[in-house]
Amino acid sequence: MSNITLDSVTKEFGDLTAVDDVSYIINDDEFFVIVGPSGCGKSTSLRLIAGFETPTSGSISLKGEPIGHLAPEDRDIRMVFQNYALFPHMSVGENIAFGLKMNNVDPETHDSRVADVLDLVGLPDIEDSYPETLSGGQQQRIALARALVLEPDVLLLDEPLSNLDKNLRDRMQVELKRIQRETGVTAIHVTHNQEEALSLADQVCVMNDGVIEQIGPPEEVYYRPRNRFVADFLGDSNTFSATVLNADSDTTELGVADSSVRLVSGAEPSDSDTQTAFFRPEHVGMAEQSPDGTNTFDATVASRLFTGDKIRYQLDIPGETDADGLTLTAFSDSQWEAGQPVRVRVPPEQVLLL
Amino acid sequence: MSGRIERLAWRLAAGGVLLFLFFPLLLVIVISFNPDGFVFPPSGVSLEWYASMLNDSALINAFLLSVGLGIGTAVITLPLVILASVGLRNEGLPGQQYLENVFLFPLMVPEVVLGFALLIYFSSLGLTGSTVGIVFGHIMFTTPFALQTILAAMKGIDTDIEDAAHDLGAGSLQTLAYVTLPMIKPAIIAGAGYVFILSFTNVTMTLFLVGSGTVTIPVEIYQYISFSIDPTVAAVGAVLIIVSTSVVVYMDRVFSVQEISGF
Amino acid sequence: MSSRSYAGIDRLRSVVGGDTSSLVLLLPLVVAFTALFIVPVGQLFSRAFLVDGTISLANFREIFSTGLYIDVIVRTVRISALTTAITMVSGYLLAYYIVFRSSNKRLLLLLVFVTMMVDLVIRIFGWVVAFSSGSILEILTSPFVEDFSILFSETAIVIGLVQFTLPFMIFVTVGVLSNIDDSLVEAARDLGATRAQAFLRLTLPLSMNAIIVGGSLVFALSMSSFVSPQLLGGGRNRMIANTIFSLIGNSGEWGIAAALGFTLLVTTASILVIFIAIVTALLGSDRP
Repeated sequence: MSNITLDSVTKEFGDLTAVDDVSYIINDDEFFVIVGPSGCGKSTSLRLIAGFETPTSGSISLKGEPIGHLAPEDRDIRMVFQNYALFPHMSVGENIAFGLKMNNVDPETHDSRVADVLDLVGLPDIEDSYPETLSGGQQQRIALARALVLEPDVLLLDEPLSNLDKNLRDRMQVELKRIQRETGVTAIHVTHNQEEALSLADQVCVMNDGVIEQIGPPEEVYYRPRNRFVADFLGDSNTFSATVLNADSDTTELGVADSSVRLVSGAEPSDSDTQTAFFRPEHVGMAEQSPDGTNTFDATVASRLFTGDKIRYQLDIPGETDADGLTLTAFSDSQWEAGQPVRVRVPPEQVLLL
Repeated sequence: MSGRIERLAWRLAAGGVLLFLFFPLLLVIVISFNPDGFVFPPSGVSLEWYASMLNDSALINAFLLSVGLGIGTAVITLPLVILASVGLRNEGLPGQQYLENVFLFPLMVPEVVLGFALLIYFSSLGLTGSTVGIVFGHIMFTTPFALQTILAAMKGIDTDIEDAAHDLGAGSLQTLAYVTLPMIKPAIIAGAGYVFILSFTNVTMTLFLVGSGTVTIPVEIYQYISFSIDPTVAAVGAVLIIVSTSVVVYMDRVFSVQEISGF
Repeated sequence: MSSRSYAGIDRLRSVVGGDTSSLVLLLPLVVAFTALFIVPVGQLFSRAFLVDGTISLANFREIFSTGLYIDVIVRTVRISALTTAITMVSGYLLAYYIVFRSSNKRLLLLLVFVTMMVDLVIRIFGWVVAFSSGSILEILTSPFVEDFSILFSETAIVIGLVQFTLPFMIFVTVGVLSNIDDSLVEAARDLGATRAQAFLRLTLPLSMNAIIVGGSLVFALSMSSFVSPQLLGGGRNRMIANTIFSLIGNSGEWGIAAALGFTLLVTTASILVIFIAIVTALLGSDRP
């Protein structure tokens, strides 16, 4: 069942087109994450859905009913702002009850509803505190509670975790997922952090420069990106421009641009002259010895970067001359030193053509 | 060594300037208790001037009128300015920057000219010497000051907070009432105090607007000084000094003076 | 990046069209402003330029040719210039102290503000008393001064005007000096400059705008002042504002009064506008 539908929505600010002919459907109970670099149009998209901007063209519908003409206060869509936007002159309880008041909910029920939602976000009994006395993480949960107390159809989250340190962010991600599951609300979450997007989302929507690059479940957009932008944005990648040297029914032989190294891909090339070859660092195998085979090379470790959970290596594969080698990014648990020789293999079926 | 002398020199210089500023105020207060009037040194302490002041109905009436005018002016000017600030804050109005500056024009016009212009204007409307006329004049005079204070405070509000209010179901009016205005409460109080004092102490422009039945306290004092120097004036002066000082100190608790001065 | 529009207004705008909603909010103030400021001032100007129904400069010619009025204008400029000089120096001094040398900036500013908010008439009254015979000032200065007749002299007016304009100068200067980055002075001292050198070569040039804006404000305020010259100057030391006031009794002279008023307005407004424009232009090449 579809919940929110965007149909050819465009938003222009003078000469600037922030959102360009964007269409998608967000289903009920879905955790939908819009991710992209700054200026890609993700925040504008959120504001369009919330009602703070009106589309220049196109329509937005909620459960089949168009809402583009409705003011924010008339939509059953609630938002958590990036800097929380808590009312400084009201207590936590009053902040949360504000929406209840504005929507003429029976005053008798306010106290219990406030208490319930505070339990939901894990901050019971702080109705009487004031926002300025709370930590960032607490404020964020109050902002969430304030939006959720109204039991909206759709919950919007505008980079809510950006201001938190990593530990808190990781914990809040788990919390957010849990709350969304418990309440069954449709969540639309905007972030520039691709890790966050991949871990939270049921559907990932990658935006760039006002257009949608790809929409799909996290594994799909990560392992089968549609184009170079998505490939590079969602984590480390090895992407190269390449030309087709030889193609048969199973494999395609590629010449990598500015290099004499040959790659073999299991994918079918498109008709154009240049292809983009792509594979993730985790698919690059590193070993001390290995037999010769397709996509197996001698390489030297150029550099290593210890990032805590894994080690990231840059590997130089020599070409026929000094200048035409190839550098790959690889992940490994094993320890290698810079300058060490290593045997590298990339399974052809993991080399995709974008 | 030179450091200490230098510090002392600075203290003396700054202190001297401050003393200069306060000198007449202190003198007035001293005189108000001096049974010999203006002659120094005082031979004792006496409250006769205060008694004389309280017996002078013209002075009492003028004082009450000034208080009423001050409150009335504040009550009318503040809502006008608040409404206009909300309007001025929205983007999209062409020439809005200019409009803001236009409202500051009265500051550039000398009070004599303002007063005179209003005199001519009111005489053709039959409003000379009326209380209404004085209120109008004061409204026009205090608007730029109030506008500076309120508009600056409004511009400082995080727009996300108002968006949040809308998002939660509040209409424009409700947002204004429950969120925006409460958030700038200090500025509103300061603005009101500021308007009150400006109206209460205004002399030059008001001189052109008063009539025989409607005299404000500053004008009354001015006339006393011009025509007959009576130490009763000192008692009035001392009272006004206390009143003004109290209002300012109270305002400062709410809203730091540095922002009000508008410079 | 996106333009922030207030949702209510945005929607009202799309419903009603144009910027009507903003206009509606501004309307009361605009109406009041037009009725109470623009129209009266406009009428004043028409009085100045209209003689017997025709546009003429007769009023202005009379002002600038009659000895009486010329004296007044010259005196006004003279007194204002002197006041400005004194106020600029003493105001800068106190402001500098408040910003850089004092431990309680807020209290000192409050004190200055308090003096500003006490009725000017009372402050001037204090000086009238100080200048009258038998006062403490006479006693204090008797060893140095033979004839204590300050009252009703230009000197008295200047002192009264300094009283009036000093707080303005102080606030402007404090504002500018507060914006000067402390670390600049520290850097200069670190590189070997003495306090005096740091001041002369760094602080003073950086606070030039205070001096210019403050000075022009003080000058404009002095030029248009009424209370000080009226109470401290006596009949023989009239400034422009007092002259205007004296002419209002006779409506036949309103034309001349209006012309004087117009001249005063144009002069003071121009000074303020020109100097502030110069300063803002200078700020482009200046580092704050």
